[in-house]
Amino acid sequence: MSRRLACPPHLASLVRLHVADATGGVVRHSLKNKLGAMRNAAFLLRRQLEPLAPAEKKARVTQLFDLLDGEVKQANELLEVLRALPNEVNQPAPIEPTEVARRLIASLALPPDVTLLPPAPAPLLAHVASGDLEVALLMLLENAVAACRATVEVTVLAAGERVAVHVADDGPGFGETAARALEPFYSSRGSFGVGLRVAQRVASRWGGELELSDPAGGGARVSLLLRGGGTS
Amino acid sequence: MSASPMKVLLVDDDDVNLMTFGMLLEERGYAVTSARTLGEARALSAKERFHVAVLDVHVGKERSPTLVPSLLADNPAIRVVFLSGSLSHEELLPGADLVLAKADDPETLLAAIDRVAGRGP
Repeated sequence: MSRRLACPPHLASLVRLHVADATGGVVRHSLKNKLGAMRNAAFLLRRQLEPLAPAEKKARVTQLFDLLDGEVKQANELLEVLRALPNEVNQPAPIEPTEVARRLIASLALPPDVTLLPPAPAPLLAHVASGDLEVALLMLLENAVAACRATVEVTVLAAGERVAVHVADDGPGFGETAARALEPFYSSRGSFGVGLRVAQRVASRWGGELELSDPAGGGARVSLLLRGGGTS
Repeated sequence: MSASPMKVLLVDDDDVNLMTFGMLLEERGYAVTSARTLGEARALSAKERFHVAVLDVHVGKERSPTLVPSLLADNPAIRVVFLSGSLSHEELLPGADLVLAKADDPETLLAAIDRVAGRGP
């Protein structure tokens, strides 16, 4: 029987926004590639064909290329309008990931057969918005709770100039699924397959990264590597 | 005697983008070598001295900023240009000499690359 982790009510709207952003991002990325290629091809064609066009056709050829260029430009602008979340982030003061994680964990209704170990208090600060970090952690905890045998652990550690927020479980590990785990809509357990991508986008928006690993002691670990902001 | 063209390493996982942007650069007078993955790019950079690397930010499941240290190790003078879906990435892309928006028109992109390469005004 697969375990589920209910979304805390205070995060529901933000989670919906992030999921919309992640799924929309897949479509936007693919379409932007297509539009860029079309624009480049039109540019090259114009340079080759315009000089060759008969005088009476030149104006029409130029008009058609201008039209193509304009349509591609407008399509790009429409894609920007469709963003669920702004790409530019205001930089609030850095926060304590430990405190955010402990608060989130305290708000969760865990399955009775799962132990979730919160991180020890640590005065490390990271550049990320509190709500975004909560959403990313919730996505990772959902996956870990579903995959674990009995235990999930969250740790927060300094990693050079970064702060690493690790979510580890004692389940079977990523194994061969690691190569596909970050693919949009891929899931090894029949879910929507967007949780890791949401967490990765949160990390990326704040200048960080997401890493997946199977630690030597077994299980799986997902790490949010965030830009460090000193200590509190 | 004409100078050898400047060498560009172009990295993008989209075949059509690779082809069309490669053609734009070649028409501009660059000698272009293409790579579809960061692994391919590392191998090419180790064998050949490129003047400019033009990198799509997202290449497959990887992010091209992770390629920059090995590019610089192979050639400390290489200039690195990222092609991004959004210019707001500018602050968050370590190793960038320039970040360009893919949505910009080709002439703007080419003129910017010329300047970074030391060819333009």
